Amino acid sequence: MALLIPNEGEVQLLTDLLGGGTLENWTLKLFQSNTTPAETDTAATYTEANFTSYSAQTLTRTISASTWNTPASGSPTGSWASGLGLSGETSVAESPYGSSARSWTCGTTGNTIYGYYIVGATSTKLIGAEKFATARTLANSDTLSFTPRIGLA
Amino acid sequence: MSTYSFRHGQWVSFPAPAALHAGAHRTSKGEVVGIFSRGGKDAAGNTSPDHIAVVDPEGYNLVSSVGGIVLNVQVHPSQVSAAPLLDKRDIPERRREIPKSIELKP
Repeated sequence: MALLIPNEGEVQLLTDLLGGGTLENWTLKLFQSNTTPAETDTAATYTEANFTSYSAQTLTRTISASTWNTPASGSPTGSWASGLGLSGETSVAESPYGSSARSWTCGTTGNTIYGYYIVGATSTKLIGAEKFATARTLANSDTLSFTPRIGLA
Repeated sequence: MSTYSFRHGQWVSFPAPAALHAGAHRTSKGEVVGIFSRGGKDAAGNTSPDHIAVVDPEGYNLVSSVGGIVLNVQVHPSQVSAAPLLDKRDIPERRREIPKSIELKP
């Protein structure tokens, strides 16, 4: 699938874009509810993971090698190339987060993880959510890793 | 077959006999409710096709057990006569949490 930006996330992002000023950080969370993201969602739609050693991660709103990488234009890749209806779009702007994937290692008690969601750290607005194509069942010592990326086309 | 082009994350409904998709949330007119998801590669690198995820009355994915394996109930848009779901009262109540300033897009 692809990251879905719900209605309230659209408003929050447009507010950030037009209002400028200090931008709130985002919080990256994993969800354990079998939920397909929809446009009406809020953060409360999702049940956050609670496996042993789990913690949400901060996505700092700066551009650097260790945070959001410098946005760059390129050919559509990933879900954009294969499914988002970008027929005829030859260039998209995209930025991955960090120099390495975000990673979680499960402790004693596990969860089934269906995807991730991103929430405004102070606004608490749901910025986006993505359900994994295949749920991941995490048991003791299992690791889940992926790189968040965001873009505009 | 659906004649609409759906957006990623859009609520949709389609007619189906009561015996089909047992346990699905249905509209006031009896149609099955689901969410259109655009396929592609996810952040973890796995791919999925375009599909409509059928939901239960709580708004979670409807699941079905086949040979002991639990699977999400989903259909391809080309298999059903799906249409956009425009009456927000037909969305499972738990997932109607819409900011006051926003209305569902037609």
